[in-house]
Amino acid sequence: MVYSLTGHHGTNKTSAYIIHETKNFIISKNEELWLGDGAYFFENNKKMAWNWSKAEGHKKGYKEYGIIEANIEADENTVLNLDTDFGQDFFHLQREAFMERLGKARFSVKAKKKFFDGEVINDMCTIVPYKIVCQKMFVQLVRDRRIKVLSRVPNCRVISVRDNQCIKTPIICEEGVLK
Amino acid sequence: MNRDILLKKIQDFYNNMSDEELRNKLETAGFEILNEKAGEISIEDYDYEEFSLPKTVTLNMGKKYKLSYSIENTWELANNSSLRNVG
Repeated sequence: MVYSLTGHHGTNKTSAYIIHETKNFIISKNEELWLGDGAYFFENNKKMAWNWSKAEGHKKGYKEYGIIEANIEADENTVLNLDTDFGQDFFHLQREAFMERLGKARFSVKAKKKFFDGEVINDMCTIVPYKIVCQKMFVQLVRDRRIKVLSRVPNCRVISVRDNQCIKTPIICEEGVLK
Repeated sequence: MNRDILLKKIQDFYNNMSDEELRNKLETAGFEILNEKAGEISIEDYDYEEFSLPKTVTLNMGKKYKLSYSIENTWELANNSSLRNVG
């Protein structure tokens, strides 16, 4: 079975054009990524991609945004769905083992965030070579970021694509100026 | 995949990882490695910064996690005067 969906990726306008021309997403890698290494999309959610562009625009200082729309496809056996019982069980088995291993290390770790999820997911994807990781989650809207409030109820589904080959026909579906 | 097989793969993954490999992996991912203590994690996230909502008291919250699962929480007023300690 093929896993297939439409994804939206919000970014600054320059990056959107580079992605569109090269048809190539940069697979981001750092400890703060929610679902580990990958190119990030919101599942069929242009509004959330716009909101993300707006919030990041304020943070990073860009004025123009672009939203990329792409089809994301992969064999469903290569998709780690963290909304399923299996995905969550696997994640927590891995996380417990990860924390236990850190506890045995002859050094300490200082992290910028209290989530180690991205690192745990990267390790899961080493054990099973997943190409896509997805999960429903709450992502702060601009006003939420302003007053630093969170919710435990998801408002979107986030897709992390670890293999560029899974991203088909990216187009710029919207661009504009941030106000 | 069978759960027991998966668990075995996970355990093998970390059992076969040397401290040096773990250190390199974490450093590459952007974590800061400290040599003075063994097996501890300290967190520096935005909860530690000033957290404010309109018309409410402003708090600073510091948290330190240890792998023994003991948690030390310290709540302080924004002016750093001690409000209360939760052990």
